[in-house]
Amino acid sequence: MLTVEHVTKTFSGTTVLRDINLTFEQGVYGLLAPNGAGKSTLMKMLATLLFPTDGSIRWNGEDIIAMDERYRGILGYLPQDFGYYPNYSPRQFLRYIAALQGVRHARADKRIERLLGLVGLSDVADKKMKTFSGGMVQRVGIAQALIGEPQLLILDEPTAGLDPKERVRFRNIIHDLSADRIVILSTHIVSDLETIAGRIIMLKNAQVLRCDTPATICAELEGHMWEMPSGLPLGEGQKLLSEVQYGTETRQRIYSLQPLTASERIAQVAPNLEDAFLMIYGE
Amino acid sequence: MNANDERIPYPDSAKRNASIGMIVVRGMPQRAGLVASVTDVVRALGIRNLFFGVWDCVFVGLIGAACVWGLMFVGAGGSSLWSDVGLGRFCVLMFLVSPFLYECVHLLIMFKERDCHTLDVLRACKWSFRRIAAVRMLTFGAVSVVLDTACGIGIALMISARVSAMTILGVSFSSLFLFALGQLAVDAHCSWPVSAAIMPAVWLLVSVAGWWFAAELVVWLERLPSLVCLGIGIAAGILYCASLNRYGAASLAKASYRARGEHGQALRPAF
Repeated sequence: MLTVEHVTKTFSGTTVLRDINLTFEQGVYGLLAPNGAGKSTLMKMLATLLFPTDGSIRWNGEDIIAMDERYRGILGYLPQDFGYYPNYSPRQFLRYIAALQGVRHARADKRIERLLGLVGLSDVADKKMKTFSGGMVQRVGIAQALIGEPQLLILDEPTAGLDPKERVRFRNIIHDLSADRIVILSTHIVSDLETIAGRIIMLKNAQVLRCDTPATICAELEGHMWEMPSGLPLGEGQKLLSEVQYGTETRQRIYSLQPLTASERIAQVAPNLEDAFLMIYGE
Repeated sequence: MNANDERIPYPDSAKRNASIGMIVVRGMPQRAGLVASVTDVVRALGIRNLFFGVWDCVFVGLIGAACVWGLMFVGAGGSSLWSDVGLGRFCVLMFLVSPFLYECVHLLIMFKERDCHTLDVLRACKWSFRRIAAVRMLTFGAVSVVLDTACGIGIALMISARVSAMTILGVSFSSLFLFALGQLAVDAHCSWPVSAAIMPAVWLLVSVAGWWFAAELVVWLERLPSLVCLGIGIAAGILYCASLNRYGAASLAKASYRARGEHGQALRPAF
């Protein structure tokens, strides 16, 4: 169990995170917030790259900073800006990371083969990474986070640069991994979390706004979400959230405090996580 | 207390404190020394992985050092060294050039790790990247010592017996280890890229000052016993190794974090 207790982080007088309290147990947690809300700062503190200005983070009751290499040994981390050495192949890079994670050489090679297969890079295992696309590099990043068979996986914007097929593959990988470990993903891409996250943590104004299941978050908008043709004027208590394209027709997706009368043109729709995101963070 | 309790021979406070002290000492993990750290890192990672991804920086540093020392050898053959000013200025150049390999490789590696954005991944790994960095610094510090020794003795043989080989080595080692110590302190207290510029700037300023007072410098060096000069260099080396051991074991921010009490307030300044 990972607990974040009264954690505050300040940079040069600016409070980025204030009195954050969270508990993580086995499963997938999605950290959802716009850019600049403090997601990466929290992820870096969980990965011991930054220290809290106040409060503490504990793994099974023990401070993670005090645990030092014992904590990093159970951690797999993919940073937002994953870096690599261009003139090395994924196999060479993963061998290096495996050595840094204390994985024995004989075991490392088998694990690397399996992970390269998992992320779909077996065919290019020995090609230099400078020839890779952004998505391929990101997949190497995911593989290196898994090399130590971590109990805690921290992935900061893991689907950045992945095409839709790769994102589906990624979601399947995470779903399989979450059975017996804690997975914490941070993203501002709502659809990445909707199907795999057991709990969504939303940050606003440096604090935790919500920590709940996607269904509970969406349920608050139940009965208030409508779709109508684009261009129709909005009434009192109505808010435009987004526009969706159906073939040649553009329809606007709105939130309405008061129920509307359904018609051919105006239809009630089920709320999704993106609606909740836009409601909470929209201006 | 009942009558039975009065018969139990409780230890006095001196014995009790001694027992507690022994339990604490045996229970606390021993801090790994520098030699143990080096052995552990090299055994776990191997030499190849110690400089994984940055061998090109090592190569460029070695080429640069070869060029710089080559120029020093060319200068050592010149007739200007027969005068006090000429010899003094040459000693200043020795002082300036001695940490070149160390600093060049150090800066190139730091620049490359940042340019490749690999630091976050490396710092989150089980093996402390700080320890690996310390072993790296020790390794190319050792290579620098070998290079400085070979070049120092070669140059001393070329410029005759006015300034002895031990004095030349003393100047060289003092410069290398004091520079390395300073760089360690700057890395611990300043952030990149400022930390990259401070020590080279300081060394340049000291060398410019030495250049102006070159004649007086030679007279002073001739008066200083060569064994003392070499001893100063070796003492600087020992101090550097001790500082490197502390650098590899803990970080400034971690020390400050651990100093905070239960309610989060700082109990003592970071340093």
